[in-house]
Amino acid sequence: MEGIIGGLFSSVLPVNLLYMFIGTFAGIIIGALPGLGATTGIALLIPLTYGMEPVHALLLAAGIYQGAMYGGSITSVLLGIPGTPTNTATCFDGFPMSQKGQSKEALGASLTASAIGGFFSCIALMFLTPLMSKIVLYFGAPEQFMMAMVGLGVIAASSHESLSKGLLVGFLGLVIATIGGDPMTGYDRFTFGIMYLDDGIDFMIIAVGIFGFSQAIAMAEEAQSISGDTKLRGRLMDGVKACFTHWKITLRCSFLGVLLGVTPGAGGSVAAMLAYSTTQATEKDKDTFGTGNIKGVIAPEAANNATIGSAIIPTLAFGIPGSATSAVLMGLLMIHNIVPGPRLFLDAGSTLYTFFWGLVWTCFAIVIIGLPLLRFFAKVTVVPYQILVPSIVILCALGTYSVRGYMFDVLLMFAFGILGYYLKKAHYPMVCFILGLILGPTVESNLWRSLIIYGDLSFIWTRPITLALAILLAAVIIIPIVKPHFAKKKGEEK
Amino acid sequence: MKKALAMLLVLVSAALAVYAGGSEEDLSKWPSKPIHIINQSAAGSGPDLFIRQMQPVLQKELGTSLVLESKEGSGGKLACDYVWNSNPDGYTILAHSSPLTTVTQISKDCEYSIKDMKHIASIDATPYAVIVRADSPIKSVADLIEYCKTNNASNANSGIGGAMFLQSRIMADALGIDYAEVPYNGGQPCTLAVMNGDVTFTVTSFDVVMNNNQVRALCILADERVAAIPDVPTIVEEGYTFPFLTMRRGLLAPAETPDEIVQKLVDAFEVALNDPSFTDYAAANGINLDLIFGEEYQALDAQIYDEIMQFVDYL
Repeated sequence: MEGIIGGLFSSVLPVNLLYMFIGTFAGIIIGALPGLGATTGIALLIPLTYGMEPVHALLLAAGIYQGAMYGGSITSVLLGIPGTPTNTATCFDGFPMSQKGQSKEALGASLTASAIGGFFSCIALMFLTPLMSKIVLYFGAPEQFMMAMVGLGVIAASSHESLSKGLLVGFLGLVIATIGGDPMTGYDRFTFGIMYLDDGIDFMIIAVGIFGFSQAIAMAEEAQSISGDTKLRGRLMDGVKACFTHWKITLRCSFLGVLLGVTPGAGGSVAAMLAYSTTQATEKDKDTFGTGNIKGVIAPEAANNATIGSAIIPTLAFGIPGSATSAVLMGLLMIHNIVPGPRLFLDAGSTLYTFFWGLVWTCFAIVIIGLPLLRFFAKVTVVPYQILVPSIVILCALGTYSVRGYMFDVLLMFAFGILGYYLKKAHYPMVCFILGLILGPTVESNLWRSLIIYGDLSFIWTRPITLALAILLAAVIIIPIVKPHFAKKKGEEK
Repeated sequence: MKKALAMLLVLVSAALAVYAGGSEEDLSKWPSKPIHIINQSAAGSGPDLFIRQMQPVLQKELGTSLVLESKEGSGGKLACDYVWNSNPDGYTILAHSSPLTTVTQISKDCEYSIKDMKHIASIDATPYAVIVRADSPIKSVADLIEYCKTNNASNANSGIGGAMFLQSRIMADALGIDYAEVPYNGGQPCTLAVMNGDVTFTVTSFDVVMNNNQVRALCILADERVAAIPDVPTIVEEGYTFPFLTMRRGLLAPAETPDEIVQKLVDAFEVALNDPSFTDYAAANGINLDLIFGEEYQALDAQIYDEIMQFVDYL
């Protein structure tokens, strides 16, 4: 407790606040550029922090982390290109809002939802680390398998328009996820002897192609700016307010994010996708999702920022990072001779609590820095297509190239763009595709592991968490199918 | 017409973006431009952090800036191929992680050998250790053998045909034990698998126990104990000996790199690795430094290659 109060005072020192703001500003820009994310941002920061006070270095990193996690949504909303993998789900409704001229409202909502989600996560990190680190110890291969199955089950609820279309693209996602070395035997699958495919296709390459490049094709075809003939309407504040009007969604998705952030095998992208698809499934106006529903912006953005604090928990408690970003963050800690693990809170207490509070303040910093920036950014949607289309294509190419540094990936991204263009034209629910794609590897490898360890499927009913998740899965599949029938009966009774 | 023009715009900008990818500059006075260090693992992983820690000193010594690039994939082969095929002008060097890169080269029938590359500097020698959960009834190597005989034991490895997998098999043969082999994506998930009870044990770099009280090291797979955890015995003390694969991170340059350039790199790394900014960091984090430079390092790496070659049937 002393540490927490000491950290609070030290975190509000003007010089510390300055570092936080610089970090946040840099983070927002890094996140907004496709292909660069919090991981790269903090990695680039590391050599710059020698000779710097550890506290200052950590506060810069806190700003970059929070800023980048949010910043990615700016590109998602305005251009339909996910700025980072975690902002993919924001494209579904954020970009259609921009097309309707409501970009300001969407940006306001993603900003506020990110800040609220991040805030809860940092509070959890500060007060619940000992408790939440236990989740890591109970989530083995069988639990991770079942959790991902529940996520796949959501496809049933997300394909409200046509179940067969949803299942089809969900399956396509699963198939594409199998490309690369077999996780169990190491044999190459569907790589056609191309070495670049040995590790499968990076999610970012597919996401940028499917969302970004396909959008550029569509825009060129329509030959008009993003918002077309419609005038820019709405205000940033409308979006801010929406997060509070829909406070149930904001809170629920924040908690989902906090929980999934610490769960092995999940992470920011999975949290955002599940937040989006469960919100879509449970809301009454679910048919308007995908056409520019503000709830579809709030849900994923609250959830992905909510993984920030909780993903750091296993890193600090066991020295095992919960995400790529927390791995680099751990590197930064180690360079400043702060060694993660059980003795951490004793050895580096005050520095650490200052960092925690710093993470809390950066949630406010993204709002303070974000609001004036967004007013300016929102105008991108009225830029003439002759300028915007080539810019988007180049941004897509640069973004994919920066993931691993191979031209092959860029060509692959173009191919996925063309695929995405036709799939969207035929109204296939892309949510289902992305769910299959990101959950496929988790399902497959953890099912195999469980089978090797337990010999048969008994792990489903002999382990309490797995059993509970299995029941949830059954509910997730059955309810969307049964519900319309009940609703009909009710209607008849009336 | 308008549409066709717009489509053309998409194509042209796509082509430009692709074209902008390549282009090399001529070699003049070395170093006259930034040096790229290619890493086979992600930013934030061990070798990446080592170099970032040395970066300020290295840049001062070399008089140019360093660019760290991650080219992940195919068990380190993609990064290695990239450096092997790059201009041997000293501007592209590889962050090498042995035995990972070596094992992959052998198992994937690579057309060239890491032995032929110019070796610059070896940074550390991190031995593997047998790791179990902290509350595991297994307290010694004898317990492990007994447990594997009477129970369904399982072992987590970082991928079939990888270094952890190979070291586990070599050990299993020497101890005469049998267990289920469970592959995970990389080393850290294996430690997690021990923690959450998925598997009985794993064979991984010893430093995972340094800051994690949920796992315990049974023994070190090396001839000598390590200074960071002096209480943990070696498997040799427990009466078993077999070839030990040691994790060794270092830097390599393409085979044709001129010797003068290699020497400049060796000198710069020698200064950076002995600088207090690096040695203090290594001490605080329990990194087992083992500095070997130039041809001496090349000879050692070649010896490791040949040693692993004996086990080619396991891969």
